[in-house]
Amino acid sequence: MNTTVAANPYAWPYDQVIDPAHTALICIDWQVDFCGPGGYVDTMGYDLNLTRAGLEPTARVLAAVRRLGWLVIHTREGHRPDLSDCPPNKLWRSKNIGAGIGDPGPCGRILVRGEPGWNIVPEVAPIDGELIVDKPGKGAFYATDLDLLLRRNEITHLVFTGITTDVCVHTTMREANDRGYECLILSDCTGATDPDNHVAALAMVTMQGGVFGAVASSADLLEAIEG
Amino acid sequence: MPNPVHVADTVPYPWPYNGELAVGQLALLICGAQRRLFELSMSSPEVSVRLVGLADFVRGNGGRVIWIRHGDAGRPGRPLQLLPAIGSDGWMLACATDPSDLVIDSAGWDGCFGSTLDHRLRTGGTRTVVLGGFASEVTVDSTVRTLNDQGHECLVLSDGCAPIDLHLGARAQHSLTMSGGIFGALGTTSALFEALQRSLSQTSTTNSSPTREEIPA
Repeated sequence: MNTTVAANPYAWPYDQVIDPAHTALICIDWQVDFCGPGGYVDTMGYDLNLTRAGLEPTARVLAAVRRLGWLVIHTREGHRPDLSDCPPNKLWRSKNIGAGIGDPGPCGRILVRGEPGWNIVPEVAPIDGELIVDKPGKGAFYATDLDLLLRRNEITHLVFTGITTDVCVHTTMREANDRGYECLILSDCTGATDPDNHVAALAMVTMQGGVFGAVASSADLLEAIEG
Repeated sequence: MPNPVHVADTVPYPWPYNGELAVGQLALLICGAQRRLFELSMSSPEVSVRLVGLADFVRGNGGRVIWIRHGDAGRPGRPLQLLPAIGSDGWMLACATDPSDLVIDSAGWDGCFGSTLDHRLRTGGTRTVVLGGFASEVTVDSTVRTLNDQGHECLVLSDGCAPIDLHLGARAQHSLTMSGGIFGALGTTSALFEALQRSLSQTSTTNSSPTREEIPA
């Protein structure tokens, strides 16, 4: 058993035990489409350095929790090749800004399962035995088996890395928090297309005593679990 | 087919995306109009006047008014200071509702979690959802994310949201407008009023011309 993480706004977790048997690392959407050249985010014209910034610290955290035997779950956002699981308004909006879901791009069809752009980038790629959850939306709990996987593995505590901070990571952390999971987000293992939204999303977590959980750096987590 | 109707000056795209705006197929969703959240939020009195006025109009013209009551239903894990326990004083609604409104209880910040909201929207023929409310960066922002994933076409009212922290409330609304409208669009109450009136006058014009059913046999 470990000591707690020096997190904001409280020492995480609230029950003061980081038990590898009940704690999972959730890596959200580290896909080429969101942080690789030629992917969806790149096609929309955003600065890739913003979404790639968390890769290196995330790789360090992954190495540590693999040694400790934590459950690791990776998520991927993407749609079926025939787009039958893509809501029409989502499809319309993507086309409206010139990055249509399903349209051909430098990394294959944008946000489509099985295409090169949908793959997780090599820096933080899953290894054998790790779980992968494919999701059609922003939240990893909606229309997926994530909650079932967590319950079946007796997971009660979640540590989040991934992109983007204010969209898919925040949506999933909010979903997890509502369901009673004890959540920690790693500030330097996330990133957003707008740096101010990244900072605000982290601050939102800490409101009112930790309305969605707590925030810590990867160094703070590593100090606690590798101690 | 009626002409497309969009709300003026919505960000980042003309809402709704398909121009199918009709008050009879619209749901106004008011999140967190509860005593504890109302008291902690900025500008709650002004925002509630706007939302109650809009609710009167929507209800009076065949639309749906839905109040989301967020409550702690025995949440496992860490107690949340902000989430009122069901039945407690802070959990009670802070605005007057109409008997024809729906009051839906959710078990967390997301109005869809542990609630009948999605079911009610689908079975009630709702095509567009307009959101406002209190502690908006927590309640509205959580709810719009899930509704959008479910495929609902959502408009968040920039002047119909009372956040606890003004800066964070503004950033939450900015996030919504990223990537071409990542959770929907942002607009004002007055622009929505104007667009709904436009769509109603279009409907009444259409109805005044003879239809097949009105022609005597």
